[in-house]
Amino acid sequence: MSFPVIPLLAAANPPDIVLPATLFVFTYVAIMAEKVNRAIVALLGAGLAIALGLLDQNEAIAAIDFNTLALLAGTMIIVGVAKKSGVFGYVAIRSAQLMRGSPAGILVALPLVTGVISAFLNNVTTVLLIVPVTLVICSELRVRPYPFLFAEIFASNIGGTATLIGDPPNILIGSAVGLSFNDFVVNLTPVIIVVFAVQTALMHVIWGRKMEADADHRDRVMAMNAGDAIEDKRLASNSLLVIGAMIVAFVFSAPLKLEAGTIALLSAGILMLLDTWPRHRDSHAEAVTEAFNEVEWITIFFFIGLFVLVGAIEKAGILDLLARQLLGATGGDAKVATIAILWGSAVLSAFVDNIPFVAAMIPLIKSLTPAMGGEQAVLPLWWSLALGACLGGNGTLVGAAANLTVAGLAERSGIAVRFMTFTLLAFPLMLIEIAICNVYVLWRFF
Amino acid sequence: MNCATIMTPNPKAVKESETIGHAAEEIVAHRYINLPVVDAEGRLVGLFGIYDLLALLVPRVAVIGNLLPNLRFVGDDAGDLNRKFAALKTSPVQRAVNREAVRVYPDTPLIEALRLFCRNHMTIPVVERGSGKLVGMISYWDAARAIMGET
Repeated sequence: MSFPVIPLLAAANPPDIVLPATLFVFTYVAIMAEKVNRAIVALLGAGLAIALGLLDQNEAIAAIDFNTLALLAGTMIIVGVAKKSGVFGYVAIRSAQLMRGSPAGILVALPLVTGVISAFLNNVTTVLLIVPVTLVICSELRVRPYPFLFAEIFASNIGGTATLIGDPPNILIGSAVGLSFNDFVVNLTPVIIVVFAVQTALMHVIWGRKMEADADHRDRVMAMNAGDAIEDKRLASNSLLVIGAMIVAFVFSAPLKLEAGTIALLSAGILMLLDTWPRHRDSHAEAVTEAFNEVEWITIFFFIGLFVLVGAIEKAGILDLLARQLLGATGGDAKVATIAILWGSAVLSAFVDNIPFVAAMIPLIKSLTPAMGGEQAVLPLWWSLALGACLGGNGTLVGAAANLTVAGLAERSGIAVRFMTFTLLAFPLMLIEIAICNVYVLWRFF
Repeated sequence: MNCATIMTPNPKAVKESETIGHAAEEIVAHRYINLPVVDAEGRLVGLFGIYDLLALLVPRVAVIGNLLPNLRFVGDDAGDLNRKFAALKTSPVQRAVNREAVRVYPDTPLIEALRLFCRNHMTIPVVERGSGKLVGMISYWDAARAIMGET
């Protein structure tokens, strides 16, 4: 269990909690308002927490979960290096050809590719890799791209929910609770497969069954030379090798006695070595700089700020107080709490950033653990939090970063993706996903 | 020396209601890099150039940013490009005009025009301050000739 927990104060007096609670609420409101970049807001909040004496620097550093940061940075570097190879474009084109260029078939295949890649790579990167190829395929087929983009948004968020490394909330939860890659695969992947299958069927009913393309246009998709999408064959094979080895290492992380962050950074180092080794020594620094530039520093510093901020309210005993209230409201019943967390986190995550929400919920659920009967008893709460926070992102266009990325790409390509049009269909579909998860958690864990 | 000194006054322009086919013919016939597009009152709407024309035939996602490393994987089919152009050429040029194109005023200093040429590699329309009416076009050749003392 690597998420550092600062010991709670036995009892928080009202004056002790006013300042940290105010700072926390103001910071979170500023993050949600999105007027100022979220990394700046989180860092200001964290800096003020230290400056106001809510926690000292040592406590602030202890509150930062470096395993999460390492896992994020490592996978970002790997994706950044691997994407230059063009291997993901190859996979997308081949999947469309496996469907014989049929639009209805491609509406299944491309989201499936998106979902599978999203399970192992960052969702935003996944859609940035798949959507451009999708738009070219739609252009060749002369079909409307919107249904494909919609389905890929859903697939990226669904796929990301399936594994420890698929979505930042899972990385946070896994690291905080000590849940392994295998734990996520065993507990979440089965329901995610069902959710994806239902989603795919609904996409077919809504759009796929009515889609048509002329034989000439289908032939153009079949005539595409997928191999030409690969820019660098050596890098493509090295990338697949390293990503495959990383996944195997995640599966065997317990016997290997390695944390996920170590595995990700080690894999990133190996891929960078394989990428730079054949080049002239003079260009090594440039290649490494390029790889490090792929780290989304906004996300990394956003996490750092959040960890410190949550550490501050945890130290003040606010989470303990909230946990007691939540315990009272649920009557200490784990089943009620599980369902409340599943639906509550899904609806909230449809409108607000799920990362700060999950960052705040983690210590809250930890505070509930003793009263709910120990670590085993609260496991369903963690799975509900992961399912709700990740899948909730499908509810609206602002629910997840991948949604906004696809909308932005579509807009620049002359395709309108409107908030209300998207939400009117997406929100009910998201509720269906959560209903499936509800049945699953009740059946599986109670 | 300012842009009024080096500009070509009363340049060839097309109205925004004219067709892409007509604008394309003008561009190809006169080897224009950019053709100014104006409204009914002669105010500059934007530019429609050879690159805008060619970009109409390519999936737009392939020409924005660096999202697609190449389009080699798409089969070579000149007939398909002909059909795409045929489908587009009756559309009004306002559909494809680049409204974000930079513009200068007659009194804009030449040094600023040089900076814009270096950044944009394009011909630049000159508009009347206030009304926005097109009064001329300047090209990097005009600027180079002026600097070499040929104007």
